[in-house]
Formats: sequence, C-alpha cells, structure tokens
Amino acid sequence: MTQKNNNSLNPVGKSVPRIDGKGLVTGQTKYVFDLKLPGMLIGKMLRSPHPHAKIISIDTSKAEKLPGVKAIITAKDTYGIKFGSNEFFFPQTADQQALESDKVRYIGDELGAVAAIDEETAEKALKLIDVKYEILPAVFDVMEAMKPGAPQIHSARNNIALILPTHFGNVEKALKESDYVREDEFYLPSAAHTCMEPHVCVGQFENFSDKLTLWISTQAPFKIRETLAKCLKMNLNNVRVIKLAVGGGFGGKLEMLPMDFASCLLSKKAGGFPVKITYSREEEFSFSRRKHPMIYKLKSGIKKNGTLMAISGEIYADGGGYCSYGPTVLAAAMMRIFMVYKIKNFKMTGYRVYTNNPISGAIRGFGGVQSGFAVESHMDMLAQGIGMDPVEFRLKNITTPNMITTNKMILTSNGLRECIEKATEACDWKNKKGKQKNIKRGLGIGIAADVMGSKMYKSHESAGSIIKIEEDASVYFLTGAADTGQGSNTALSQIAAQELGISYDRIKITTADTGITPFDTGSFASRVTFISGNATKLAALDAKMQILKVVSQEKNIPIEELDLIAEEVIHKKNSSVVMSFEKAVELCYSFNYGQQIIGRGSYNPKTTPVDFRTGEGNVSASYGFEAQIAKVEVNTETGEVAVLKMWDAHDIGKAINPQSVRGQIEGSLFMGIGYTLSENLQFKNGRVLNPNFANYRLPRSVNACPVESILIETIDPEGPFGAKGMGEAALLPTAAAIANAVYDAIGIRIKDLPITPDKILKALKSKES
Amino acid sequence: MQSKNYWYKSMTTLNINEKEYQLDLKGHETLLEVLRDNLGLTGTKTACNEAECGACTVLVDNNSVLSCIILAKDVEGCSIETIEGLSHEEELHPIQQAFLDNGAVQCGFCAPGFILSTKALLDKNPEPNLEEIKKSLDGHICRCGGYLKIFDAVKDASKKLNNHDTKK
Amino acid sequence: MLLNPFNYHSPKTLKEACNLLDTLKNARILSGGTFLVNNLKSLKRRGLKTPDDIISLQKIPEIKGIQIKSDKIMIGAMTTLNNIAQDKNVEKHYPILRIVSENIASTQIRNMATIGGNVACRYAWTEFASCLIALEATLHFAEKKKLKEISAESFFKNNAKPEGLLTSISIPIKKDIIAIYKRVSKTPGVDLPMLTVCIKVSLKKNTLLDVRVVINDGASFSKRDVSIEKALEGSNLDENIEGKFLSNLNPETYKLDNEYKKELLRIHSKYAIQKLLVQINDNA
Repeated sequence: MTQKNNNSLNPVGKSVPRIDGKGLVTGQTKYVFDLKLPGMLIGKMLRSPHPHAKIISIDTSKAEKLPGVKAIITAKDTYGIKFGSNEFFFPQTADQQALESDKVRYIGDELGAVAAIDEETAEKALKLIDVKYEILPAVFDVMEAMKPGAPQIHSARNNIALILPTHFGNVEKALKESDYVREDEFYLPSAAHTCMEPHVCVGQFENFSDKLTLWISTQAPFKIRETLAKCLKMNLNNVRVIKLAVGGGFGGKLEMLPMDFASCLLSKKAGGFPVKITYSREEEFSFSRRKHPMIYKLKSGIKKNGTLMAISGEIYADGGGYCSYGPTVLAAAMMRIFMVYKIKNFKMTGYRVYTNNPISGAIRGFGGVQSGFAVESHMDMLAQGIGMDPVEFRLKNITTPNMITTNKMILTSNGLRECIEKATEACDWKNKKGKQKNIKRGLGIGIAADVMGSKMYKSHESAGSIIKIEEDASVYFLTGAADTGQGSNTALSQIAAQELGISYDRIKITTADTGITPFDTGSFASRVTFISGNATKLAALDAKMQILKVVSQEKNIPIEELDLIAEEVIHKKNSSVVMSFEKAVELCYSFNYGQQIIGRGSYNPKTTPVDFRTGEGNVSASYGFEAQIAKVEVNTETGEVAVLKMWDAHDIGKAINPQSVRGQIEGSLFMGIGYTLSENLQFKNGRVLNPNFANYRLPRSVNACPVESILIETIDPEGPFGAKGMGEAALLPTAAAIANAVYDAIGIRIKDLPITPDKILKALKSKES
Repeated sequence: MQSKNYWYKSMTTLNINEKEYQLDLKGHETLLEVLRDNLGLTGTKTACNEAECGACTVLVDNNSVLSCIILAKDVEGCSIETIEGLSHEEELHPIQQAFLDNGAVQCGFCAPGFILSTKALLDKNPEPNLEEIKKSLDGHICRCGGYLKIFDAVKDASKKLNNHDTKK
Repeated sequence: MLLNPFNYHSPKTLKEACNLLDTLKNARILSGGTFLVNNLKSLKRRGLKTPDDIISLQKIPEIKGIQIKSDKIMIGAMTTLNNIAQDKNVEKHYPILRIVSENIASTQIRNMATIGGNVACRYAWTEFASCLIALEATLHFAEKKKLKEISAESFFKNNAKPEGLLTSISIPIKKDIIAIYKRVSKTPGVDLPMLTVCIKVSLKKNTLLDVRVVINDGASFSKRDVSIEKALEGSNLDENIEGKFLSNLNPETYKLDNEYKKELLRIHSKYAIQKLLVQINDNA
C-alpha cells in the first residue's frame, strides 16, 4: 500500500525527498498568492506620502461613491488598539495602530484601506480619498534623532524606544591591564528580505456567523492570530489564521502588518466577502520591513598572549517609525557575543532609536548579522595588533561545552572548536593564510552561534503536535510549525516517523492552521527543528505507547518489553516480531478495543528572556555554532572582490535531513554574500531609493561560488535525536569572513558594508599616499 | 457563416501545453495574466513584474522567456509551455525529479521558472558544463537556496535524460 | 490589469506596418518587448499618459533573420540577441557581435530582445551602438514608400530620429578586422553596463588601419574617441600601442561623475587595448 524503501525506514539522518516537493516542482501547490475565492474583492492600503505628519481629517465620501467600491476603512472603524511584536516584555513598544488615527511616522504609514471589485477601482478610490495633513519636521538620521530638540516621533524621550545597558565585571580595570587596546566603528546598512512571494493575505470576516478567517503568507500564524484578536477584541478561537505554502519569510512575515488587519475589517464592512491584499514588489521594498541599520562601536582590550580582557561598546540601531521586533534585534546584536567568546568584563549599551524611516524589524539573524560583521572584524584586528594568527586567537577565547556564560546562558553541547578546526583544515589555512598577497588572494574567518528559539515574545514559546493514526494505518500529522521553504514539514515528519517506528511514506502533514493545529510560536530564531521537533517526538511517543498498550493487552506482554521499530512491533526480550504496524493498528480499531490513536505532544524549552536591566538571560535551550572561512581574490586596479570559495563548518547537533541542512546553509551564506558585496537598501528623506530588483542587486547563478559545508554532529542532549535548529548562523559571520579575507589579500580594512569596488580603490589610494 | 468567421477572428487562440485555448482578449493582456487569471494556470508566478526575477518564465517555441512582459496576442501561433505541461499524469518529468532528488527546491516559488529554463537548456545542449548552466540560469533569482543545488539538479537531469534516450 | 488598454495591431508585412505607423498618431512600436512593456507598466503606475495603439512587429517575417551576402551581413531588425549570438556565420566574420549579444541582461531577455529594439529605443547605454559604429554598420529604415539609410555613427551622433521603421542593419564584411569589446557591469554579474569600450582595427602588414575606438560612458550615446583614433591610425605593432592609447584617453571628456568611474575608464581601456593586442598576436 505505501511505497517503502530503505530511506523511508528510520529516516532521521537521511536525505529523504521533501514531503511536499512534488506539488512544488509541478506548480500544483497553491500559495496564498494564488488564492481565489468566490466574490473575492481586491484591497489596497491608503498610505501617507509624508514621513511625519499629523492627520487632521480624512474624507472618504467621494471614494465611497465610486462604482465598484465595496468598503472603506480608517482608524474610526477600529478600536484604536496599539500593538507591538515584543510588547509582552516591553509594553512601551506597543506603539503601532493597525490604522493610524493621529499621526503618521514614515512614508507609507497606513491610515486606511479600500476594498473594490478590482485593483483599478481600488486604486482610483484611494486617489479620491482626501486626507488633510499637518506636516511635521522629520528626522532620518539615528544620531540626529537622539539629540534634544529633534522632532518627537512617539512619546519616548530623545526618540529612544529602548536602551539595553549591559555591564559585567570591571571593564575600565580590564582595559588598563590590557597590553593592546583598540577602538573601531562599523556601519551596517539596511537590507531587504526579498522573499520571492510578496506579502499577501485574504481576510474573510463573516461576522454574523462569528467566523473570521485569514489566509496569509506567514511564518507565524499564531502570532498573527494573537495580534489580530487583540486589535479586533475577539477571542482566539474566533480568529482562524491559515498558512498555505509560503514563498519565503526570512523574518519579514513574523508579525501582523496593517494589511492583514485591513483585509479582515474590510471584509466585515463589505458584508463578509473575502478581501485579498497583495503587495507589489515596490511595496515589498518600501512598506514592509527592513533590516535595522546600525552604528556599531567597539573598544576591546587583550593581553599579549591573546586573552580577551574586556569588550565594550555602543550600538545605535535605526528603528524607523515603530518598534516591531526592535528589542529582540537589539538583544541579539549584543548577547550573541557571549555565545562565542568567554568574556568576564563586558560593557555595552544598545539604543533602539525611532526615526521617520520605514520600519526596521526582524530579518534573518536578527541583530546577529550586524554584530557578526562588527565583532568578527574587530577580533581579527585585535589579533593582528599582537601579531597573532586570527584562528589561534579565536581558539584561545571561545566558549566551551557545558559552561555558563557571564550573562547566564547555559551552553551544553558546543562544537565551536571542532568547527574552527575542521574549517581551517579544509581550506589549508596554515599554508595559505597570509601567504598569497602577491596574487591578491586571502583567507578570512568568522565565527557565530545560533539560538534555538528565544523567549522574547510571550511567557512561553512552546510547540505542539498531534499525530493521528487512521484505520488503514496511514498517519495524519498536525503541527503548528510553519514551513516557509526551509523544510520543516519534511524534517518534522522524519522525526515523527523515526520516533513512532514507521515508514516516512505513511505520513501526511497539515501545518500552521490555528483552527486545526496546536500552537507554535513560529518559524524564526532557528527554533523549529529543536522546539517543534521535540513536541513532535513527544506526540509520536504518545501515539506509539497507545498502540503498544493495546498490543500489550492483547498479547499479554508487559508494555516495557515492547517497542515499535521500522514498521514492526518487537518483543525486546528476544528481538522477535510480535506483529506488523498495520496489524497493530487494525487491532486497535478492532471490535474488542475500538481505540483511536491520537498522540499529542507539547514542548516548551526552559529558557529565560533577556532581562533588559542586566543583559542576563538563557534565551535558548541549546546553541548551535559555526565557523566560516572565505577565500577571496581582489583586483587592485578595479577594486572588484571575487569570492572564490567558502567553507562552512556547522555544529547542528544532528542533521535530520543532511541535504536540507546543506541547502539552508548555502542559502543563508549567499544571503550573507549579497549583504556583504552588493545589497544595500538606500534611503533619502525617508524614501526607499531602490525599491526594485533592478537597483537592489541580489547574487545570481553567475555569482555563485563553490561552498564546502562540513556538518559537525555534537548530538545535543536536549534536541530531538540530538538535533539543534539551524538556518541563520550561516549568515552571521559571512561579511566578516570576507572582510577579513580582503585584509589578508591586500591589507585593506573596510568597516562599512557593502564592500564595493569604489571603497577598495579609495582605501588603496589613501594607503599609497 | 460570416458571423462565425468574424467571431473566430476576434478570439485569440493560444496553444499552451499542446492544448488550444480560445480567449476573448482585448490586446493589452500580458501572457502572465492570461495564464494565471484567465486560465487558472497558477504554476507560473509573479514575483517582481519588472522582468528581473525569472519567476514568470515560460517556454515559447522552446525558448525561455518572461511572460510578465509578453503580450498574449503576440504569442498566438506559437507553442507555449508552462510548468503544468511538463509532467504527464502521475509521472514527473526527469528534470522535476532531479530538482527533488538534489534538494534544489525549498520554498518552491522560483522552482517552475528554473525548471523550464533547465528544459530549454537541456533540449539545446544535453551535456552542459557548469559555466553553461550558470549562464543559462542567469535570469533567475533564488533567495532560499543559493543556486548550488540547482546546478546539481541540472547536471543530474542531464544524466537522467541521456540515460532515458540511450535506453530508447 | 498591468497595462492600460490599447488597440493591438499585428501587421503581417512591412508595408502594413508602415501604413499603420503613418496613420496612428499616438502609437508605439513593440519589438521584443523588453523595454516597452515595463515602460508601459511604469507609466500606468504613475498615472501618466499611455499610447492608444501598439504596433507589434512579431509577425513580420521579412524583418527577421540573418543573411550573409558576399560583401555584407544583413541582420533583420527583429532578430533576437540570442539568434545573433548563436549564428555560426556571424561568429565566423565578427565574433564581437556574439560577445556583445551574449552579455546583455539575462538568457530570457536575450531570447526576446531584438537588435532593432536595442538600437531604436534611444537609451544612451544600450550596447549594440558601440560595435555597430565600430564595424561601420548602416541602419536601414522603411520610410513611407522608400528605404532610407543612415550610418550607425550618424544615427547616434546626431540623436537622429528618422520617422521610418528600422528594418535591418547591414555590416560590411571586411578582411583582417580585429574587434574587441569590454563591458563594465554596474555590479558583478548580470546588470546594466556602467561603461563600455569597443575597439576595431584593420590589420595590414602589422599596421593598424581604419581604427575605431567607441566609448560609452553610460550617460550619453556611444561615440568615437577621435583623439585616440588619430594617435593609433597607421601605427605599427612594434610601437607602444597601449601607451599611445592611454596617453590620448581623456576621461574628462566623458560624462563620468566621479573619480572612481574615471579610474575605471582608464583601467578598462587598458584591459581593452591589451586584449586587442593579445587577439592580434593569437591570430598571427
């Protein structure tokens, strides 16, 4: 009945094909982008053309009269409730309304929406809405925004949404005792997610039936549900958020956007007809979310023998008009340092600042990408200052397995040393580093750590799974985890099959539908394999025990002596086969038992959020580690940097699906290369200057360099089958690895991204003179 | 008689995946809109609408082209192939299978475009080297995967197709 | 709908197309579509006026295809870039045409874009201009009932806008021609050109004759650098060709708005002339 082959049995650790792959390669799988429903209307957002203004009045009367317009909403149709994605721990960051009522704070800020029979009519209607603004002075520079007298964007003093001050040990003393101290300032630009599927949603609010359904391209349907329910003052069980296939998220689809809210409210006002809102690519670039640009200052001291004595610094993050995931980004930008380096004396202050730029939010790696470039470049420069090899310097100061960091992070399995050693071995670091200046080639290293989730959003970050075994022994697996392309559907199904003891081919999966599947915080912070994986394992174990209980009863064998492995119920004492899985299921549903098999599992890691008063917090139940090395060649006449090869050694605990893991590493790494060499989301007076692919350049096939990925399996004690999460780490050290390699090749240090040819040439010229 | 010819003349006939479709088109419809909105063939995607990303790629007379900048009426009389035309009933085309086998598909939004470009390449050049593969795919963006597994898939597809031919 | 409505015309002959062009007042010509369609989308998005009529040239066989005659190559205006790049006869005579064609944009664009569209669109940075000027090509237009000719050089120098339809481009076949093309992309990989350098010489007994150096700075139309040409004309291979070239190159005469771009022009010109000399050597 089901096709079984070697890979389908005991699938953990095997590169089984994607469970949802056939639909993707045939184009048959539907995304919300493709969704069409009967009577569906098209919605468009009404946006502010000004970066900072008071809303004096909104007159929708002309637009309402336009034939084909079915509903128009503004703030007066809402409860005016404010929300913020990190508001649970930071209530002051609930600063955004779904539709703004008093003020607009960036170009594109939403203050209304229209639903009409087609896109043309909706756009005509928007033009007929008469909004009167009182234009206010605006501020676009993060340092200017903090100065007294700067335009006040919210009520936060000096436009500082929040400060994360951390202070451990005695930095002044440690710096005095250092043999070498250096100070550096790095500039990190903004970037865009550029998911191939833009933001899109269809809201249907049949209020008389008390039914609200939102189909949405999202990474976190339960988060969307929570915010939607809050803003609409509805119970969670009255709001159903459904995720279909998603064409990429990368952190940009982790929270409710005004468009999601608008599609629901428009639907209600239009009498319950579904309303679809799709972002154009230009809207994606201009009005969704962007990476936090940061000014990252570091001052550190080391001993002659390479011991890190103190790290200090400041981070200024340009948050744009609202807070979004600002606190988490800021925390990640600082706290990751403790995951990789042993450091007792640490003083860093992070500022998340409001400006009248578009909103900065979560993007793959959170603040870790910016931190990765700054810190890893700085570490290389420290090593260079005492004439020490950068790898030796890292090895001297990195964290170890089974230790507690200064800020109370509990590191259990830690393969960082092995990652560094394997990566340097693979690229022949000993013989090549510093020895290829004549041919303008160089090697550079960067290291990073990954979290598995991060308790920054609510009191728990649990995942839940349900496994139902049908009468014909086919298996239905329900999980809240959201696959946005990273392969969680497949990995979780592998975990389920392995733990349950059945063939992977039996499993059919339904995910991320708040009306059907259990809760899951979402796909971010590389948490799914670890947290949702553990929930899945528990559900599978529960289902297995229900089956074995029946078999135990029937065959009069104590349940402790039974197990279900590779489609067979085994009597452990003598390794004999008691019956097949199919027969066992048949038995459960038989006349004497009539027992449905419904396994359930819920897992919440024991973690603590970062305390913004102290900087302490064990944010993850496990940490992943990574070392990345870049080989570059620089043309000193044109300034062009060519990345010839990348090596990536990654501690992933255990690779549930090695091919998937490598695919994620490669994708993450190329995103890193893009950020390092060509991606640069540019702004002027609050407007995105390059909101299209023509001018925001991503790496393409012709830019691809070979990547050697080395998987290090440290078998995590807490992870499912030893697996840790992954997906972000390979993006964090890339910029620094390349910058460090450029330094090795030509002795030029670039401290602001992207590393473009004109910067190289300029630096070479000033070096000459 | 005359009125039937007149009606026939005003309709546009498009040959898509070896089927003929009669459509009442005004002239300003792009091929992408006709495929997705008129015919419900949603395998071809819109990701940028500025002819940069390749997600809207279809084959016209065996050449890979961007349907978001083609007027549907311009391809009347041509042989159009979309992703829906590649597999036959239950069986995947060897290129589709190769993409699956090599982990070349993550979120899948870019996959139909890449797969069709691969078909166009392998039809003309059954054993391309890496440089030729990279060049033929230069009109596509993949944000999830980073291209390397796609190159593996193309090489594997080439092997699969050559084996299939020699078996014949 | 992505585009504003218009009347779509698909003439089957050149004559039909010319008549339409004559009679319709607010019409645009659609060749490959790689410029026009995005342009129409943009005009609609910005609420600007769009054409009432579109004349598609896709179904006119007489302006497609490549013919090799005894003394010239005739390329129909509607020939796609990939057709040019893959034509073995064109490669035999002028490999530079392949090099220009196959580095423009992406594979799909090259399958759609036409040489005629590239020439006639009047964007300064389009790339065929340089090599057509270098190879002394002639552009042929159908203007009302007669055919009009204009040299590629005049077309781009005078910002000429002939009223006819570009039907074909002829390139004289000459012996001992060496031509190279250096293209500097805005960003590495697939992107618009920032600047291009094209050099063509006729080599007779180790002497450079009929030298054409065509430079495009991305902001203005391709033009011949007369001072470099004068300096190189008649030079012998024994001389310091590279030095002559570079000492007569004056980046200030081009619209390059910063020092970096001027430096790039110097460097890539150096690469270009070096490539030419290597090519000459290889051919010998």
